[in-house]
Amino acid sequence: MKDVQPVVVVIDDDPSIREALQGLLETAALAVELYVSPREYLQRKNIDAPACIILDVRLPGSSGLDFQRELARAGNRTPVIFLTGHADIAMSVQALKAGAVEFLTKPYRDQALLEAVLLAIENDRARRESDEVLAEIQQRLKSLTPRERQVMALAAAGQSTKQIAGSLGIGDVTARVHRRQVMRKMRAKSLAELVRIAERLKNRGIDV
Amino acid sequence: MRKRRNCRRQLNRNGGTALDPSEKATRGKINFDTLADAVPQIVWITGPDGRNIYFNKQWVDYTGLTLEESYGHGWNIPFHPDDRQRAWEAWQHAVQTDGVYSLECRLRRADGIYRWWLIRGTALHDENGKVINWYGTWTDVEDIKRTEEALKRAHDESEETNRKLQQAYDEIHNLYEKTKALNQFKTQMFANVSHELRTPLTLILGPIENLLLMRLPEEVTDRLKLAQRNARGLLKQINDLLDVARLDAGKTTVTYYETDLAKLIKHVASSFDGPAKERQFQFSVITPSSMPVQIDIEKFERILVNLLSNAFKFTPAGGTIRCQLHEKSGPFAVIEVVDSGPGVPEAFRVSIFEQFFQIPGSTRFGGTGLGLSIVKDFVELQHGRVTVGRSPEGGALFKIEIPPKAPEGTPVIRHPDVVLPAPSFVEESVPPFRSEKREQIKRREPLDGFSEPKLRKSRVLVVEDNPDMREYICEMLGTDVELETAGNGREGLEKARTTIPDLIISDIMMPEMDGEEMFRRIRANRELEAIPFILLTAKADEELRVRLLREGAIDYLIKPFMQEELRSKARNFLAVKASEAKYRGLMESAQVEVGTVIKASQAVSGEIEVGKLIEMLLRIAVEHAGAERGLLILFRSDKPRIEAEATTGSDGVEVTLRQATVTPSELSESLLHHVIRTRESVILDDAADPTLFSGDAYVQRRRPRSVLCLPLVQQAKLLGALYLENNSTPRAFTSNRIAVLEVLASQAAISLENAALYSDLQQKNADRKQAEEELRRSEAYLAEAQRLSQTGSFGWDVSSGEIFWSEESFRIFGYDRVAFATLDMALQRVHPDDLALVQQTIDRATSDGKNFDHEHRLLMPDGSVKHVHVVAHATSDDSGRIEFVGAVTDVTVAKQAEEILRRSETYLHEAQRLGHVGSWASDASSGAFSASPELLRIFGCDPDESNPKRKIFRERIHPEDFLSFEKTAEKARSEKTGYDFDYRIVLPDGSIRHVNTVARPVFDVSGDLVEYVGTTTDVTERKRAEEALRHAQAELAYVTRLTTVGELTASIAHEIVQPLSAVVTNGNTCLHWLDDKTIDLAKARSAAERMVRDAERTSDIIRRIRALTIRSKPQKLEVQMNRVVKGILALTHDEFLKRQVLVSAELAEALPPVLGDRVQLQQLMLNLIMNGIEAMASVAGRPRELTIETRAEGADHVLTVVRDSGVGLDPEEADQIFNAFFTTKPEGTGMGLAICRSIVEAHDGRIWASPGTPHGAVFYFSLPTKAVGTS
Repeated sequence: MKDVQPVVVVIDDDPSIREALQGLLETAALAVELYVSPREYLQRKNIDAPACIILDVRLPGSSGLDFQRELARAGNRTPVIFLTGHADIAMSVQALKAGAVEFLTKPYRDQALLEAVLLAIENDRARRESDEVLAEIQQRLKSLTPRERQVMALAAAGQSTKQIAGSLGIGDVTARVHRRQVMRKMRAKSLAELVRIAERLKNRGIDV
Repeated sequence: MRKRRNCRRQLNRNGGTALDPSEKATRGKINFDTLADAVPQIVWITGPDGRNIYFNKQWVDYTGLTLEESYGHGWNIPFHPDDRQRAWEAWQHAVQTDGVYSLECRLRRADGIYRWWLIRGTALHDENGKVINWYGTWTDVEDIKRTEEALKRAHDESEETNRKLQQAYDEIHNLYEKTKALNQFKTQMFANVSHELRTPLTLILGPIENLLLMRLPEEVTDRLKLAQRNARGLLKQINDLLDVARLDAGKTTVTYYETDLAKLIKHVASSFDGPAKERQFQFSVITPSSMPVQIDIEKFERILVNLLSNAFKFTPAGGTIRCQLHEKSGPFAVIEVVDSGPGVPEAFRVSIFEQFFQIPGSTRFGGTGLGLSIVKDFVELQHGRVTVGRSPEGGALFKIEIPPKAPEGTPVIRHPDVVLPAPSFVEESVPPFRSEKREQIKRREPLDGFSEPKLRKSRVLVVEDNPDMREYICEMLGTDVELETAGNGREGLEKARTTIPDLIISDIMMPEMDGEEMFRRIRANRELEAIPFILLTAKADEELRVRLLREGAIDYLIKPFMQEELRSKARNFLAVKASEAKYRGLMESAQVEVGTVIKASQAVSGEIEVGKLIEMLLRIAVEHAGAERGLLILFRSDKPRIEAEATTGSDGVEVTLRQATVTPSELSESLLHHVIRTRESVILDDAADPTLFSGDAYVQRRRPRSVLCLPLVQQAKLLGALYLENNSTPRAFTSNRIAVLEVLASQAAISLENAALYSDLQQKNADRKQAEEELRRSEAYLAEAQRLSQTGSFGWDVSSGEIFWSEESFRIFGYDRVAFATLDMALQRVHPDDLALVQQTIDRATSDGKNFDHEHRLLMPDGSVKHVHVVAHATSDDSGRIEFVGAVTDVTVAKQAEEILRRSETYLHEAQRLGHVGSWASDASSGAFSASPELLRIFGCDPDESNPKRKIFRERIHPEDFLSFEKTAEKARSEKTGYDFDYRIVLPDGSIRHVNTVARPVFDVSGDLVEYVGTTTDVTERKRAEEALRHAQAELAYVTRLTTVGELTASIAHEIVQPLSAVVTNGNTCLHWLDDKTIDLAKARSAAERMVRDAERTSDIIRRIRALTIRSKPQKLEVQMNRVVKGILALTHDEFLKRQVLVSAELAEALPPVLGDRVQLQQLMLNLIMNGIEAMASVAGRPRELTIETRAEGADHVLTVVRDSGVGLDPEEADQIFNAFFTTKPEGTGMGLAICRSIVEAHDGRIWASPGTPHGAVFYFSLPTKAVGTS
């Protein structure tokens, strides 16, 4: 998986910019795909590789920010680097909030752009990796019974077995059995590990 | 006065206190009498009926009348007869008005002398107002009157004196002005002429110099040198003239050099060494060893050259000339040039330095008379002075005092070692000089000789002062004559006396004694009087030539003459002379009284009138030969014609001049023809004997006995023949007689030729004069007749006082026709009020011989008044006789009409003046032009000018507008239409006015163009306002353009940043691929290529922005509308993105260019696009779309459409939106669309708007293409 070649997507209506970026990115041995408009990009199938999108804030038809939102809605979490001719603070804040990796003002420094691109790809690669881990954890989570999930939540919250039994109105032994079952199903070797898994899930908005 | 009043009061009081006035008066009489007698006035009382009842003593004393005589109406007696009527009227007036009786009149004294008196009287009334008596006084005012008159006279006189003074002043001023103008003209002419002359001279000198360089035979070289010397002399004179012209024009400047004056003088003087040696002058130059000065070297050289050559010119050979620079002792450097020539007479010592002045009698030394004037001017330019005095040697001493330093502050060129060029024209400045000896040695072989062998060589005396000319003449005459030469008249006369030449050839203008004087003296000398004399004269000396020919000169030559001319003339005279000598011997042997023959011969040669000469000749011939009949036959246009016939009758010889053809009834034709053919005399001793001519018709019929026919030959030319016959005696003509006759004939031939020459000359003179006279007359009459056909004409010879009047003139002046009118007749009719002015005009015209043009009134005998316009043209002949030719026009009717017209015109003119409108009329056929005062005012002329010249108006049209104005007017004339034209005029003060002329043609009934009438309005102010408005509009447009561009700054910046970022990126990329570790040249190259492309794009954009923000004068060029659209779209690209506007352009291909200003059209486009963008700002829920479309509209317009999907347009507002300050937007200035409209209209285009479907608005503008714009 680590060997998959990352891809940089450049969406700009200005051919000068497109080609300049392509040239620059190629010096970093990056594969580059050029698109004139977001629409054209959207017609492409998903990229199964770490990637990032370089996008001008201002694009014909719709704004870059709109496109960013659209991607997010579609679940595409490819990191976006914004380029803009206008140092528009409001716009950059908005973009960064929406998850943009970088907001660069033209004329940008090439090194800054390259760094941003590499960082974004690294992030994407990490994201893709963690996405895979999470998917497995979720899979494991799904194998828990509802009671086991309750126990896991409480255990992750730091309650002792006794406390869990008290909270759930079950006997201590039962609670202990559930707890052991949870640890096994979730493949947690220690309570600390279980807590970390729960935390991870929580970070992804998944309540245990 | 006081006394009189007292007296009257007294009387009144007397009258007033009494109940019965008359009674009271009687009672107070003693008192009154005493009083009345005491006053100096005459006191009188008359009854109401005017009858006198009282006079005081003074009356009796003055008038010498008794009281008895004076009472009643006796008071009338002393009145001057001329005053009685007035006195009576005054009295009547006083009686009627019951007022004061007052007048001044003359009254006779007892001794018969009249004196002026003031009479006053007043009535005394009773209580009913009825007049009781008149009381009055007479006061002697004679002395007062006299004083008054004397005063008035004195006043008049002083006024007259003043007037004369003014007139004299005017004349002097006038003269001064004229002199000034003439002087200037002269100077200018010198300059021009000199320049004109220099060119050909240079062209003469050049080839001569070239020829001299070739190895040519000596005689050729000598002649070339002669030509060269004289041409250079001429060049020098021309240079003098140029210098003078320059000096006069004040164009000469002084350049000071630092130099050694002693060295300079030596240098200049050394160039005179050659000529000095030639003339054996003792020529010395004395200077200190050195004298440093600051001086204009070139000018000083001229000064010295001129002075030295002057000295050389006037000093006789072997004389002394000294040039000395004195040791410095005063503030000036002093240089003297001294000669031993004739010196300068005291009287001329100042004028000698004037231009063109030459001492009388010295003219033949040559020169222009400018040399010394140049010296003076050049010396004075350097603040020095030059004077002339008498040298110890008796010659002239010229002294120059010149400051050795340049004036303070003048730049001085420091040249310690200036190389002095040889002064120019030294050789030409001194007169040509050759010694007699040299002249004889240089005598050349003749070009061709006289062929006839001579017993002895003829001797010719050549008298000519110019050695070159003298030599030239000698050369022409060749070697087979013996030549004597003389340099002036005195010498010539001497030589003539000693050598008794056969022929004298002499110049006229010579020093010491001129040719004329010498000629007279020779003719007065018995020994010399018969020597043929040929004059050399200048062309202008016609009068002199006639005079000398009359006095016996034989022939003349006009300089320059041809060689052949001189040779043939000289040869002929010499031949005659030789034959004379031959006959002299013959006659002596024939025992003829030589004296008689010579006397006859002289009588013949002394006569110059052809008629008299012929008569004399024939008479002498017939008498001398003892012929009965003689005929003189002369060739007239190559045919022999009989000129005169002489017959011997009882009263002696009778000669008749008659012109007849040669017929057999007159003489023997065959004999005559024989003589003509052989040019030999034929003598028939007895025609009755058989001879060669026995068969001749005349001989057959008339049977003449002795016949003699002599040819008249002059200069190898047959002039005619002398035919003599004696029908009674054979052998009537003896050989002695024939010999004498032959001498006579040869003399006669010369005289005849001479006479013919003279008469020709006279005839030519007379012809010329007559032709001139006729021309002058006919021109004058013709011109006047044409110009003034409807008026009376007149001719007035001022000196004879004769006035010729035409019919009409007599009619106008109201006289019956007489042969000649007089000036008095004309003056008599002149209205008394105008008389002085008329007299003045005439006086001036006659004294100046000037044209006059005068309008005045005539008072006709019937009391009516006429207005006449008199125009007179002055002509004068050589003798200064003035003659006026002119016309008198009765302009009464015109005057009256004019008066009426003037009144109505006044209103018009006032109106025109207010409106700056001038009106005019121009006659189509004559071109006569009339203009209103306002027109004159507009064109900067005097509004009172009555006869303005069309030329002035045309001349004042601005040169740049003149051609188009002419074209417009010409086109209108040829099409007979009106025209309306705007153009500029330039006033004399240089200011420029804008005017508009509207002209309308006027036709007569037959439809022919009669005239143009029109108005010309001064629209300068309007133009200025328009110009200001236009300027303001342009300013506004510029400012709003900047504002718009400013609004777009962010977008535009983006447009620049975009390619710039690309450039930077590509640059880095390029560098990367150039790195050793990663080197990939192909990639580096393509990165670099992208860089170039993007950089160019950046500069394109910057150019566009610059174009928009530049403040430039509108300039109409061919503009492609599509490029304008694309350019603006490129600039606003980012703005569209920012405003989320979709823009599309549908641009038609191959559109013709429009004629316009690119910047303005860009602004137009920008404004419309921004307008569309703003109209869509508030639009939500539908796409924001802007479409730009271009397409051809018809053949000659390009339509541009800008469509938006904005808030739209109220159809009712569609017309208003282009008005300034109209806006629907709260933040709008309302200027954008107004500017659009002004731009479109400035391009002769149209702009409009309409609501769009379904939303928004559509703006259209249509611009003419180039084809329309230029038509």
